[in-house]
Amino acid sequence: MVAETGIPVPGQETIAPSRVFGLLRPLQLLGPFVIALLVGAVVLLLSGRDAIGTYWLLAQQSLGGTTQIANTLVATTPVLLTGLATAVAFRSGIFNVGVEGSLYLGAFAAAWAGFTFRGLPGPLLILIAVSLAGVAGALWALIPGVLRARWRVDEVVTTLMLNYVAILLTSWLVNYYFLAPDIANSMSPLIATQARLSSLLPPSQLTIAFVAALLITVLYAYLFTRTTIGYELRMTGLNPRFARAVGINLAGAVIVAFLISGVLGGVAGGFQVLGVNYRFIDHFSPGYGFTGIAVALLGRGHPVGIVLAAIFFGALSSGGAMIQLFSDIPLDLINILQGTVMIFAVIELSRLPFVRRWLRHV
Amino acid sequence: MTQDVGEVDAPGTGASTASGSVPRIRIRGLTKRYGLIVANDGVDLDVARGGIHAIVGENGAGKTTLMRAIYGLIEPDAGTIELDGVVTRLSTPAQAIAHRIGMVHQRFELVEQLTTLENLALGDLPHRGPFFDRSTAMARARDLAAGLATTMEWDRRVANLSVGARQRLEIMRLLYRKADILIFDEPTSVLTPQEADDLFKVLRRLAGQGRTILFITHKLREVFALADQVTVMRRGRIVTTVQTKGSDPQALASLIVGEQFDRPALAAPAERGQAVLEVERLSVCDDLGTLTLREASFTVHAGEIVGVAGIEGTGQRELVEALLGLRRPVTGTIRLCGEPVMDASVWGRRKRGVAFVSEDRDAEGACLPATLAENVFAVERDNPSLVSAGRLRVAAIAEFARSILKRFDVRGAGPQSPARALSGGNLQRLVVGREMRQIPKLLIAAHPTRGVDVRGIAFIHEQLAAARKARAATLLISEDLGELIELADRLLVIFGGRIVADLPAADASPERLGLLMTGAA
Repeated sequence: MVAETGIPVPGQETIAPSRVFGLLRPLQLLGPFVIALLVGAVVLLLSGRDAIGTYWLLAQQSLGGTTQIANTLVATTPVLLTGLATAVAFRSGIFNVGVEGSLYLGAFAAAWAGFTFRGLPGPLLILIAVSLAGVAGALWALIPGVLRARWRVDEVVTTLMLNYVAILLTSWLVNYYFLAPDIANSMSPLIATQARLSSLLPPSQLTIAFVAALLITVLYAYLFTRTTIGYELRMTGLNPRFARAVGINLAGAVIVAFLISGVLGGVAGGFQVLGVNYRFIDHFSPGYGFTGIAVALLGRGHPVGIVLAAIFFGALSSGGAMIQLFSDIPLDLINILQGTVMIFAVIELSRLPFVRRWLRHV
Repeated sequence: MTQDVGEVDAPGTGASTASGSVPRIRIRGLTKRYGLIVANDGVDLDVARGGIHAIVGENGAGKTTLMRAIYGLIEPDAGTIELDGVVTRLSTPAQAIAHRIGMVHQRFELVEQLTTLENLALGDLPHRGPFFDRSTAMARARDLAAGLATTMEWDRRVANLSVGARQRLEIMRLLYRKADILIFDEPTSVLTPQEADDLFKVLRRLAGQGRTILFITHKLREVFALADQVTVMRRGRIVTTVQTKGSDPQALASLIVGEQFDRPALAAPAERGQAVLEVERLSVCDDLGTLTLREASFTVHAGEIVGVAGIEGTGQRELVEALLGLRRPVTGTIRLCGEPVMDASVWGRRKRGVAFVSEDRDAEGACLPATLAENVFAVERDNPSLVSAGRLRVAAIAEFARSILKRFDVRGAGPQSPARALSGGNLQRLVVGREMRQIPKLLIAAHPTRGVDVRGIAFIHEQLAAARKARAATLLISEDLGELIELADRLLVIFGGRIVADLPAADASPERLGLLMTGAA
């Protein structure tokens, strides 16, 4: 599955990239977005709508003012974290598509801490809630990790399936044991007021969670470029046979990668509870974990790329939510755009014959 | 270039064809660049119909690139290829096959689960309606085998076939698809001496039928045994093309390396010391659970090189993996300097002084997308001058890598370049340098000179001999029997997964080893 992550694996590239190619790299990263917007425009035109006007509205609603930008960053936070969670696994050669599961477990753990330890002071309670969220996400990811490391069970199948288990497990917990009294919907009680992350920019819900996500991005970069653990994970991802022969413990690397991935997924869920929902809501995630896969692929595992991809998806979802209020554009258009970006993200544009020929002439 | 190597044509004019008729293949000005590297630089080459034409040269000389261009695997940046005087564009193997060009790669492209007949017919299945027409395929197969004066068990699965038979099957597949130009990339590198002789007979027969044979080789012996003409390539250019008859092997050898090249003398054998590696009744299974190594017992002492000879795939790989800790043996014991290491990890064994040069440089010996520094650092992950508290000291690692590159004369890239940028020979220097940066207690060298040029081979032999002098114990697995006899003090011969002989290298000859390896002695 490694070859499909878009992160280079041995044997995939036989030609050393030229200097021109290196300069064009950023452009190459923009390619999927541009093509996706073009495809979206065709869809809009076919349905008799004004494509440029729609995109303008979308841009305005996601980036056109302080509040809009803040809302975009709020929507960016969970997918940045799940994107990093996925990228850690991908770079280690593991196709973990189970970040969604860790996210649910983390969210539930954070909510539980938030409505259980009501007497604790705010900062401490927040610290406990976030830590528990990370631990819960990590433990959840440990299941496919051990299965893969110990018995070579394919992680794509286990992580994908465990997502449903996680969603239903938390659903059962909240509906049977932790249902908020006097509410018809399936929600847990609200967390203690002092556990809520305060807004940096009222009325938006932009909180310290976004700053924390950026810090975690820096840690992610540091992990892979400056630490032995990151080195071992990277070698395991790039060439497992080489890693084995030089004495890297592959089973250990797999476990570590799953744990880090799980922590980040869990923290993503925890922040969503502490900063946005203030409680655990059954089936609360619109697929943050899955969008994280697209973010990791689109960012090509590079920290800056991941941040940009996360902002793009954040803008799409925050602008898309607003666009319905101001026009007759259905939310499905946003889904089409997201889907198209994902498809073009995994195509390596430089491999398409006409792009290659064009690059040769530059 | 004024060396006398017989009838030398001036570079650029190519070979004169025997009868002055239009050559089967005529290449003019062929150029192919990979980034900043020019793999083929204005290559001109004529290949006569019905001849056997050898291409020789060091690693990275451009031989494989040239053959891949003829077979349509790569598109040249400039230049033309003419077939029978007609300029032809070959941009895919399918087009090459349509022009009756076929290639036998170093790694065979056969479907192991299918029978020989099914493999033969693959790509052009005779059929009756939607069904495979087995009898027509069989008739054609029998004709082909008869035409080559050879035999083939057409109902056998390829997985159960010997290497020599697989290669014959590959050749027949090309003929089945009407190929008339056959390209071989180092065809004898996986064969025993006897199998190589059989191959030569087949190739001569094909040439006698008017087919054109092109083959890449590192072995001058084969050039003189087989080829009518030989082309020497160096750094992407054709140095010369000569008739083999009347040429001087020594002069040809120096043309290949480009200067007078004297093999350095190897360090003298050392006094044999205490036992370093003791293996007792070791049995190992392969991935499919087949017992490929059975009850192997042997000892390697300090200051000794023990060679392992055997046909490819008869337990050598499994032996190496068991010794290194990559594979858990079924039974038996392994002791290193008297201590059992059966439960030690790969890293644990490396820490006790085990070094390993992999047979598969690109996939196991090195990490191609990683930098040279990262490739070297892999075995120094606990070196306190390179790592402190789990943090990499990036500058120190680069400096360390630079010292290895300098000491082992790795050329063509710096510590921060990807390993991919190195040519095969330089990459092997890097791998050997990494493993020999300190004299190991036990060196496991699996086919260390495979696909390496003359100069690289000399370097590796030098390193092995120097390690022996410094009292390392070495287990050398090789398919080059000459190399084994020259370097090793003692030889183990494996046949059918068992060690069938343990003899002093002085008593061995390639012929005797060949017989032992095939179970005939």
